[in-house]
Amino acid sequence: MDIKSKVIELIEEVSEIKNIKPMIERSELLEDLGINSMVFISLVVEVENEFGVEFDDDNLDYRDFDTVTSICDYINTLLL
Amino acid sequence: MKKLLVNAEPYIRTYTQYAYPDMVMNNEITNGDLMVKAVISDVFDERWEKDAHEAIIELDERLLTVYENHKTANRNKHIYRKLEPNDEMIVRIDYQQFTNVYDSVGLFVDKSIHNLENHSKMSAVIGNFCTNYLMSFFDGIYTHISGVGDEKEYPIWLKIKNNGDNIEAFYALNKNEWISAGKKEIDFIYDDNEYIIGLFISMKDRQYYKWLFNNYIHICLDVKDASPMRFCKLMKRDSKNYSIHPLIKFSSDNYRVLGEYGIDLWKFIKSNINCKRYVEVYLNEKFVPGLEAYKKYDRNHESLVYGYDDEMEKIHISSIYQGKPIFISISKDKFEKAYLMAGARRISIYELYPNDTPYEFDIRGIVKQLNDYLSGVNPTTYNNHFITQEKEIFGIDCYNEILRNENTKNIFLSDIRISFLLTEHKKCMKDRIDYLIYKEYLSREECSTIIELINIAYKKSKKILNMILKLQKSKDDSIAERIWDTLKDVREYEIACYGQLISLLEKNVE
Repeated sequence: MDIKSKVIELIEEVSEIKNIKPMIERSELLEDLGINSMVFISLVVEVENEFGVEFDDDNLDYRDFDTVTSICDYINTLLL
Repeated sequence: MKKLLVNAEPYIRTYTQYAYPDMVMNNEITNGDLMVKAVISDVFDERWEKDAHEAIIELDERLLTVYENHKTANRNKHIYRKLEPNDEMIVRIDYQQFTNVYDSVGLFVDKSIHNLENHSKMSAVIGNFCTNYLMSFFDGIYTHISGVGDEKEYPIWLKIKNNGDNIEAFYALNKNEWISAGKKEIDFIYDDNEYIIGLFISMKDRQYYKWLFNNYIHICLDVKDASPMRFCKLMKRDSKNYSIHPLIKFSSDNYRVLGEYGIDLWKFIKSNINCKRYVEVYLNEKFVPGLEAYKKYDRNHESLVYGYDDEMEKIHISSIYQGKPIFISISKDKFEKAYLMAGARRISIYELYPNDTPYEFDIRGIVKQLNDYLSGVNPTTYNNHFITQEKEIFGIDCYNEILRNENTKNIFLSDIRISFLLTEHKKCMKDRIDYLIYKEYLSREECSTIIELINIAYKKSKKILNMILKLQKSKDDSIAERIWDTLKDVREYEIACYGQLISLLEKNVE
C-alpha cells in the first residue's frame, strides 16, 4: 500500500468519518475534511507508529499542512 | 422569532467567562471601521460644506458613508448647507455604530455653525441616539420620543422641513408614516438668511479600544484551583471576573424574580431577549442535545441564550464544546429541564450598553503593568480596600510555578487549558504591541526586535500546546523534557520582549 492510501486509511480511523475516500477525491483540503488540531495530532501519532518516523516538534500545527498530499510529502522527507 | 447579534468566533475561548462577553460585544455594530451609512433626500453638491474633523466622510450623490479615522479626536462631524425658504431634508439611517452611549446621528437646523459642538443649543435637532431612543431638541428643550424604544430596528427615517418661519421635525420607522417630533417658529429672514440645515454625526472615538489596550492582560496561576490559569482582571465577584466593562452591563440578580414572582423561564428568556439582553444560564448539559455530556453524565456549565423562536418554541443558545463555541436550538421544555437539573440556578444578564466614560490611553500605566508582569506582582494588592485580594502566582512567575516540581508539571501536562491560555496570552500581547504601532506611539522600525521576540514567544507557545496534545496521545515521555525546554524559552523571550518594550515606552514618554 502506498503512503497516500495508508494516510487516508489513518485519517478515516482518527476522524471517525466513514468512507472518507470520495470526500478526499472531491477535496484534499484538510479543512474540508474537518481536520482540527486534535484530530491532526491523533493522525501524527498514528503515522509515526505506522511508518516509524517522528514529526519534528515544529511541524505539529495542522495549519502548516493544508492538504493530504502535503502530509504525504512531509512523511516522504522523513523517510529519506 | 428574535435573535440577537453574536460573534460566532469569540477571541478568547479558554473559559466561557471570556468567550461570552466577546460574543456579545465584538459584533457587527461595535466593530469595524464603518461608523455610519445613510442616504439623504438631497444631492450632495457644491452647496454643501463639511466640518469633518479629519473623519473619513464619503459623499456619493445621496449616499453618506463615514469611516473611523483613528487620529480623530472626540468631535462631532457635520455636513450642511444653507436653509432654503421652503426646505425639506430626509435621511434614512441604514447603519450606525454603537460604542458610546452618546453616539448619535441626525438632522439639524441652526442659525450658524457656532453651535455645531453642542446640539442641545441648536434651534432644531432630530437624532437617533444609540441608547435605543430618538430624541428631538428645540432650543435646548429635549424630548425623548417614546414608543420607539427597544424594538427600533434599522433603517430609521428622520425628516426636518420648514415653511418660512415654521420648522418641524419628524421620524418614521416605516417610511410612509411620518410622526411629528416637535415644531417651532424661527426668525427666518428671506433676504439674508443665516440658517443652515444638515446632518450631524457624533461618534466618540472608540473609548472601548482605549480601555481594552490600556489593560495589559495579566495571567495568574493556582495549580490547586479547578480553573488553574486565568487572565487576571482587577474586579471579580462570584467567580466572574468581568464586573466592569465599557460596553456591557452585567447583572446577576434579576433571575430571582423567577421564583419570587412566579415568572416562568420561557417568559423570562423572551422578555430579556426582546429588550436586547443576553442571558447566561447554568444548564445541566446531560439534558442538552448536541453537547458532549448529553445523555452521558451530569455537567453543569454556562450557556449563552441569544434568541428564541416563538412558533417552534425553541431557544437559541451557544455553548462551548471541545474548546469551541457551538450554536444550538433547544426546545423550551428541554431547556427548562436542563436548567432545573443544574445544581446552581444562577443566571447572568449581559446587555450591550456602552457607557459614556472617556478613557485616556495611559502609557505610564502600561509600563507599570509590564513591570508588574515581569516582577510577578499581584495587581489585586493595589485595590484590596474594595476587592478581595487574590492569592495566586502572577505574571512571569507562573512559568517558575509550572516548573517547580513534578506535581505542578503534571498538572500543566494534563490540563490543556493552561497551555491554551498561555498561547492566547501571547496572542493578546502581539495585538497590544500592534496597537501601539497603529496608534503611532511606537514606530514599526524601532519595534522590529520586539515584534520578532513576541512572534517567537507566540510560535513557541503554540508549539508547546501541540506537544502536550501529542504527549497525551502518544505517552512518549521524551516529549515532556522538550516541553520544559520550550517553556523556559518562552519565558526568556517574553522577558527580553517586554524589557525592550518598557525601555522604548519610557524613552518615548519622556
